[in-house]
Amino acid sequence: MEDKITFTITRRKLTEIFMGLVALFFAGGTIASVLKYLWPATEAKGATVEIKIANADEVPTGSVKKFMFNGKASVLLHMPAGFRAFGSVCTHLGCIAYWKPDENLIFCPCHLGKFDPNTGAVLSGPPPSPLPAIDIVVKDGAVFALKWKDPNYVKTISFYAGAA
Amino acid sequence: MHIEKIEYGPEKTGFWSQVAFALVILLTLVAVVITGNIFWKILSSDASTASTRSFIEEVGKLLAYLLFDLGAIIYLYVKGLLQDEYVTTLE
Repeated sequence: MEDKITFTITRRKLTEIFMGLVALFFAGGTIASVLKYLWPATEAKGATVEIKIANADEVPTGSVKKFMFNGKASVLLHMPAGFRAFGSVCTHLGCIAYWKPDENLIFCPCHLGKFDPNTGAVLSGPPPSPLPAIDIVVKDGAVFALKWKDPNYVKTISFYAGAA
Repeated sequence: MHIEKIEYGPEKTGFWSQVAFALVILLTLVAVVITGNIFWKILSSDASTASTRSFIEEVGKLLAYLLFDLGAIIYLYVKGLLQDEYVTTLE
């Protein structure tokens, strides 16, 4: 008695299997991306990571560059005294403050909060505390963000609905 | 071409159907590479990179290539592998 196992697969079946695998691969990637969005990798509190903000020559003195740091809107300023970086979410109600070169300050348009571009300190208006400073380093001709000066900053603003 | 219905009939035979089959396999591999590339970019980029215009444009282009690739696979599958009488079309 001869035992013979015959395995037949049609081209159509093979195509379907391949397309199914591509679909599974796509679905897996989509799920992984969604999970990464919902639970981003968080660094240990106060840990230092280097995130390149810009090449130093991209931001001449007196100009700024907006960037995202730890998911928060932030701004890099090149002041005559050097580079400064702050989270630009206003400490009052979470609007996004911006650089106002004609008045040499950082301005929140929602309730007219004004911040010092060198220190982030409140100059006038309702904000209860300074803009959060970001530690930066300039090396190899580029500016890198390291960490929030206050490691509890992100935690303290998390209650702002819609804060960028 | 507007496909109304595809029945599960026998496959085409002959040289061109083999070419279509080889192309389907090749384009499937291309789809895997493009898909992997898209998700590798998304998963390996940090937030500051992923929010730049150039990154979004690059991922958008790859998605467009993937869509075109999948369209080509379906076309080759329907027109190259299935016998014509099993594909009912409305002109």
